[in-house]
Amino acid sequence: MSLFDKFGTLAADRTALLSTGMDPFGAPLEEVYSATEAKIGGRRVILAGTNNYLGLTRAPECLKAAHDAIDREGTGTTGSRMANGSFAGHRALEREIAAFYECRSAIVFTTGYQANLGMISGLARQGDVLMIDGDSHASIYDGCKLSGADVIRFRHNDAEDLDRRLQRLGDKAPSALVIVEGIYSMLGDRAPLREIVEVKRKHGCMLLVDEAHSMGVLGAKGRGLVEEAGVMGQVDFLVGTFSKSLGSVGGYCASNHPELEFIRYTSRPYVFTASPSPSVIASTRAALALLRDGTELRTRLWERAGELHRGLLDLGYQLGAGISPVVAALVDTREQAIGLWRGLFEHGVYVNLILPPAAPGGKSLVRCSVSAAHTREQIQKILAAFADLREIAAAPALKSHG
Amino acid sequence: MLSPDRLSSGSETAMNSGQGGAYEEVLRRLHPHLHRLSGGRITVTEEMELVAQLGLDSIKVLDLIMEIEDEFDVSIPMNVLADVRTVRDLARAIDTVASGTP
Repeated sequence: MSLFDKFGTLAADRTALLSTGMDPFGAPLEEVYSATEAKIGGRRVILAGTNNYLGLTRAPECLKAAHDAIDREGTGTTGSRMANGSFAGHRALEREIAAFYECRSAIVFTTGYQANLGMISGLARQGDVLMIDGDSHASIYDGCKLSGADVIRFRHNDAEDLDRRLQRLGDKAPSALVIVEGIYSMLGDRAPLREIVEVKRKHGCMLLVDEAHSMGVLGAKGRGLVEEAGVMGQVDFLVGTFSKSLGSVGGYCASNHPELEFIRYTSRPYVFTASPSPSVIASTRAALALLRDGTELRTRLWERAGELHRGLLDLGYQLGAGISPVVAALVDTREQAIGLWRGLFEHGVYVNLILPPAAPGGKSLVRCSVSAAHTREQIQKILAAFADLREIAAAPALKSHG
Repeated sequence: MLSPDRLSSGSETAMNSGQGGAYEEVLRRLHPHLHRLSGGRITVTEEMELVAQLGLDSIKVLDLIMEIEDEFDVSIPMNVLADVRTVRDLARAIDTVASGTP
């Protein structure tokens, strides 16, 4: 009996993955040429799985802001905001996020994962009720666990199911916190937010929306699903990340509730971690300005997303959702997904391999994320690779047991 | 296929611990769900572990809870699963939630 016994199955799975070449879950990026190209495992590839939706990782404004911040304030803050204090940039970014969402205030976290972890565990405690979509991201599940609150799942994107479950809570319903996502990261589908807001209003409870994959992507000003659905003022907590459309790292929550300030004291993932580095804050602020005025970037992103989506449908691929910057090509088995991922890589296309239980319903898939920085030619190359690999995806389901 | 009688037969622990009809009723209604989720290949008994023996992964167990909530019209927080390993644990947890104050 050893601590390591539990790794037995994992070790076998990993050996199987490695035996065919590179570990799809640990790709080595030897050189990064641009927002859409890198050298991985000695091969020059198109990056089509990095969530770099607006392609801002190389924006000159962001690079300059980061350089200046390093020169001015150094490489790191060496501690938490509570202990070491808040840099001017931390506070400025919080004001800018709040203004972006037309909210009273905002709070910045060191990573997107911690934003969910910190908000959920900061808001709820034992005896409270968290009502989460069944397909929620791991950071939401982990935040729920850390909170110690009662966690109830409702059926994915099913507002009626949410309504029924809130009804069951009786007197407790008004004190519940409902949690959904703007765009779900694995399949690229969106929450039926207007219906969910209706249910939330009916029961008088609160609503947190995680816009990690929809900020900068949805809405005229890039404010996410809340803007697209026209419910900006009706969501209690808007959570998101800096590590996707904003091209850096970190997370945030914006809210009109003055009580947001108390999160700075009750949230362990906020209190007990180092605050974001000055260069990270600086590039995020520069990227936020570009995102706000980024109508052209968004137009290009959706054009490319549409091209990839239609192209894959024409090739006969089964996709996870309608047109979306997240494009999931579903297959029947693990083996097909691994084969497709590897084939794409050998064709010079890097995407994400998703195996059970990471995707809902035990699905296996390869996940592409489209960027505004992708050229039409790159999308065509990606499609050409998928075209060559149709046989793998269409292989008569050699279903593994189970 | 397993009859509800067989599921409850030999459940001495349940009987001895003073759990009566409600527990048996939970077990009876739980059975078709477990039978289906485990692929219908094996005989489900109270002692069986949901993950190790019935082959349910963590998500399947969570989905099962959702179905049970609808079946019994109760709220069963995910947290109760912390102490649930076997079919009996699950039935007891449901019985507790269904009969007690949430």
